[in-house]
Amino acid sequence: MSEFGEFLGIAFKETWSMFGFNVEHNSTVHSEILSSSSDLNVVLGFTGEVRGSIVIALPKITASAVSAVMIGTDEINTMTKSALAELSNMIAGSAISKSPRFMNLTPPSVVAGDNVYLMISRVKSTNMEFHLNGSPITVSFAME
Amino acid sequence: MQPLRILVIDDSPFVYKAMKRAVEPHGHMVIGHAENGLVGLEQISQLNPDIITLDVTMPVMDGLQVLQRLEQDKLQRVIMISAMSDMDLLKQAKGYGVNFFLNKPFQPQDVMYAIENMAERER
Amino acid sequence: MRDGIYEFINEYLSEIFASVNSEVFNCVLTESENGIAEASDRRFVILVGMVGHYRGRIILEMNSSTSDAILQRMNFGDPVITFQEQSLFLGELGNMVGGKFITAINNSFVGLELRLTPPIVFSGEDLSVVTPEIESTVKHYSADCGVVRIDIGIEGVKACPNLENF
Repeated sequence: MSEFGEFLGIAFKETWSMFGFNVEHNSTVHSEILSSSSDLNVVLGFTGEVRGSIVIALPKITASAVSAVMIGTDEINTMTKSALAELSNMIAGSAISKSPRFMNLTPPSVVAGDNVYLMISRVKSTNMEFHLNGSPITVSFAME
Repeated sequence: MQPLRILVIDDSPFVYKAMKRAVEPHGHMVIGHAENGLVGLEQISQLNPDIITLDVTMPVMDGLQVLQRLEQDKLQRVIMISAMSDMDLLKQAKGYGVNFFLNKPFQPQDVMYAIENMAERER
Repeated sequence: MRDGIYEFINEYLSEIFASVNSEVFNCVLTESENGIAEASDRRFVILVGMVGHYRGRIILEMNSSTSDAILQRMNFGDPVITFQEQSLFLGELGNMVGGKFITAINNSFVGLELRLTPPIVFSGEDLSVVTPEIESTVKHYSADCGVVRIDIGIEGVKACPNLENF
């Protein structure tokens, strides 16, 4: 895995652990494009010495579990999305600060719906699959 | 003007098609389409195009990185294309020897203007 | 600088979008009060991030029939079938609108130095896009091929209270 992938994986585990979540890394998969078909996706872009995108993708079941811990209800509402956005911002920001390359990060946007397809890039991507308190979640990135 | 052989280096299929539509009615040919700078360099070497249209922002290798690797005679055949008018970028590209720039989206007549002026300079 | 940015968006966005329209998909465009009908229809959304002195993003949104029509025009009459190809064309549309916008705003506000991040294209039903902590300026454009919604949000730039907030 690339250096940035390692930074992102570490930042991911550290940030969720800080909020009391049990984080287990399942697998890392490389693919030819960066895409997602999850119900909820937090997307961030970056530019500077390199340009690219980060996506944190999770199904509704994981979002509900996050909401239950962070907000106190398993309903996925505006506050859940805000919490996910803030956490993703911390994760991405932490990864970028660990990297020796200069990059600026966009604000996080939360994309949610049914039958969602998301395509970001035709650049090779790294997709790290985790379990968060037993529920699946993926963090992916691609650098141009 | 003699028919010119044009290589499009751009990750966008829209730009490739728009370029064909701009030049083919005037008897010129788009001989290749490279979706990133690395493939673009390979195609420049294989096809020896008369004109190269080069996008700035591409995956794998961007336009400025391509310019860094091109020989002088080929740099003068480049039309640089970008969605943004960025003075720093223009200065860098000019520094490499590029004299022609187009903003996206471009009109067919802007493409032909650049091509005709480039051909005039070559004479 | 922040105070002027909202006015800039309100004044120049229509001109910028019209310029891209005329050169790329050439629909008959008018600014509209009407939003995109039927939230449950499949929607396409293009999101392009901006970073520089401030951070933000531009969102273009349309339903699937408008997207099909725009894509066909961008592809010079041929339909664009796979999601992957649709993403490439729509991503390029996002780049062009975003590129023209940041060129214009960077020229008007020295030191702003906004840059674009790679475009993201998504489609889905009951789709929502939320960028927390950012107020949006939203305009709708009615084209002969449907309605396009453009939403620009820059951190710290307050939207006009009379315009729709996302």
